[in-house]
Amino acid sequence: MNRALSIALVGQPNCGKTTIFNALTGGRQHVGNYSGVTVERHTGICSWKDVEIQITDLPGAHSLTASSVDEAIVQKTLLEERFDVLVNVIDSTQLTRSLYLTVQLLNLGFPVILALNMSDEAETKGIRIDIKQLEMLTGCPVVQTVGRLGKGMDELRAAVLKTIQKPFVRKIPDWNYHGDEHMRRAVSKLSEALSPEKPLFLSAPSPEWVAVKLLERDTTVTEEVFQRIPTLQTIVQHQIGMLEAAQGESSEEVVSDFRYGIINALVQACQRQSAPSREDITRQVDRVITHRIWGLPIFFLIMYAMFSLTFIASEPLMHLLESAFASLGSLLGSCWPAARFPELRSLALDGVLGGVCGVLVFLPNILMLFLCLALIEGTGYMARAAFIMDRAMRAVGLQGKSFIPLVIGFGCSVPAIMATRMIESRRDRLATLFIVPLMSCGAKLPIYSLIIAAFFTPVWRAPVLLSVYLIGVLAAFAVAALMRKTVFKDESSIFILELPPYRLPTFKSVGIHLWERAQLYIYKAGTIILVASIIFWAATTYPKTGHPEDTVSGRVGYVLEPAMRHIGFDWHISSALVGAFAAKEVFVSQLAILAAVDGEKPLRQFLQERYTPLQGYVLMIFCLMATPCVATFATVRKETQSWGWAFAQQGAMTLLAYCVCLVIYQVGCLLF
Amino acid sequence: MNSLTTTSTEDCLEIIAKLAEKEGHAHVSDIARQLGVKKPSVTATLKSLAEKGLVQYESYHPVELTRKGTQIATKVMKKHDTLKCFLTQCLKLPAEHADTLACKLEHELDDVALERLSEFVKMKSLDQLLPDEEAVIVSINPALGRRVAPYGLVKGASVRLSRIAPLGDPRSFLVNDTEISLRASEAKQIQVEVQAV
Repeated sequence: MNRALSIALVGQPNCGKTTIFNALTGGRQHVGNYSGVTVERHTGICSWKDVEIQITDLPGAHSLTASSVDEAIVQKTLLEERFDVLVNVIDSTQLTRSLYLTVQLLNLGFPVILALNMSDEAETKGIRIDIKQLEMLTGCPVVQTVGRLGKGMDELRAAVLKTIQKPFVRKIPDWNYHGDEHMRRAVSKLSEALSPEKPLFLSAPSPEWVAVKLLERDTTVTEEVFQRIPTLQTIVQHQIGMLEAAQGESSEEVVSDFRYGIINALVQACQRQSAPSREDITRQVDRVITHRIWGLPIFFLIMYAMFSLTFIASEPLMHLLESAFASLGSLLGSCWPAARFPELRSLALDGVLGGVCGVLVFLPNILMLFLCLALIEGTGYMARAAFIMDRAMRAVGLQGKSFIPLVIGFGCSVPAIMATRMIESRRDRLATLFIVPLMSCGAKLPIYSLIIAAFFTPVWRAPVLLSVYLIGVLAAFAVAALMRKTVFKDESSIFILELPPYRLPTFKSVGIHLWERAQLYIYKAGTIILVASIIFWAATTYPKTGHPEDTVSGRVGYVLEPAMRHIGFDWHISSALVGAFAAKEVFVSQLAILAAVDGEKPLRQFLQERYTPLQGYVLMIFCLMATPCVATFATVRKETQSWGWAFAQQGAMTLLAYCVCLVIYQVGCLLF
Repeated sequence: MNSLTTTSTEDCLEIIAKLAEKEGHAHVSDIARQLGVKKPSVTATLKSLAEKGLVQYESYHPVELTRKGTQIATKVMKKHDTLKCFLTQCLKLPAEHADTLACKLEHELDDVALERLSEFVKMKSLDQLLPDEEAVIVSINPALGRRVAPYGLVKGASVRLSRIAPLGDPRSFLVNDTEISLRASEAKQIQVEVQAV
């Protein structure tokens, strides 16, 4: 074979496609992006019997329409790229539903192989599928696989090679077992009108497929076709009109009926269901997990476990990394004499090393979090979590799937924002991601600890801390509700959630998933954070006169003072806040520098002498809300692919912070 | 149309509602085509309907139903669906025939009769389904229909209530072998017929 062959894995969500992809590529894969969206494109290469094949793992899609970003990508990719073979991965335990996609794929006219995955589960459930019959009726090779255990991979490879080596003959299955005259007539009329035209799409799908899509009023296909061949508009509308008049229902329903007619016929002919050996494990577990009374407590318990595991368990590792970097810093410091190139030395040690450490120190945290997420999602619990919390979330203008990212936000905003990918609805996703920074993250805790210890007596400390967190949460819900009424007023979202059967994810797939995340985090978020750390190091160090007020951040502090005075901040605090944009913990170290300059006082004393408890409290609220850190900014920009949203978040949050603090401070001054 | 009978009002509202389902508003030309009359007659009708507070109509603008108008339209459509169900399931009339007949009868059906008829054909919306009931989907609101079709929620599919979330909403339904959750607001848009208890 001379040219590289390419195949694509297509299937509905939760069918085990990615497990098969990992098994076929052996984990050697490349992760890129589809243009214009943040959905990742997974491609891998493998060689079988001297043939090199490129495999693309397309996102899961229920149907070849554009209802969600994922589905739009699958449709677009299949129309614009030529694949030698399409491997349709099917969940054998849900044949009826799975065939909804299959039927559309077969109609495209490309070579398709059906991989009946999870065949072991099907057996346990008493489902038997007649392979020969299915092959005959669909006209494609059918292979039984158990992706999780790597079974059936050789047969799949053999089938792919065999199919590729045959000369390509466009074959549309003869769908004549559903006797719908009107539908068949409409399809043949339209395909006749389409055939003489040059292929409308790069991959040259069959005219029949295009015809059905036109009858179904698929927006993407219709737009494209009418643009190229405006004369078809009348013919299409005429056919749709006739179809609707004949059947007394909308053309979308007619097409859907037609498809299900084929699907039901296929299932009837090929599937035999005998009584399952015992009641489904999934149903048994679900009865407990989504129990009317116990469901919520169990849910909170699992959330708490995830939270503890992520942050508490990764702390030792984080401390280890911090001390490792500290030792590295002092080692370099001793090797590099302070006299030689002192500026460069400071840049290298405080700027670069400090910045790099700041990025890498989060890595155990991020990995732990994604491990928990991978487990929750892979087992199928994520869907249950969304199911349980939906009603509560809707009361504040969000939805069930928003809950988990918000909980993660209590640890760190960066993985929380990345976790919003699981939300398909654009408006819910953006609203959730926008309010994540208001879930007070771990980096702000040192600030609270400092201030609370300085100003409040022991008996008040816990309530004050709780009040800070609570204000954050309430503000978040208020912002979400406001967004729903204004920014997202006209967008509606339909909530359809599938509760997949419980499954155990494989070590391999989890491992590969984590490795991907680590790479992405280090390369992408890391570069911006590193650059920003250096910038802020420079802003807080230069110009160097020995007086902190002359540095860039000091001057900024002075400039902001007139405005900040109304919320009780003087220039010291404002200048320290500049550094906090890089990372919130930096605020504490910046204050420490100021305190040291001001006569070598311990930081706590410095605070107590200069400020009142009210100012301290307002400061905490301001730190909580204003200017989400640069890591958050970078992540939001990446996830939304828009600078606009990232800047909007900065602006909105800071404005919110100012207003809330203004109210608290002014009212507080009157009362105390 | 000089005077408005209840029949023509309801028909007009029903047509506007159906057209609006797709795009949120209806164009006068489409309404005229569906009713089989000329545009000037339609505008005259629309003006009367607007006076009665049933539609929002301005010249050269598309038509929208007011809340009151929507209420009437929804009720009429429900009557239509219930009648059609009765005529097809119980009297075994073919779909086209049942549709035409339902169109005529829907205007005469009063509320009490509607209730009894609904009970008789055991039609209810999906969110009213009880745990032990097996039901078959009879109709789905078109806007929703396209989104739920890939999950197996189509006319003729059998559904059961699987579980209800601890906070009362959403509900999970067993459709073929798949568990799909829907909110009550969406489940309301799906009409089902109970088969057996």
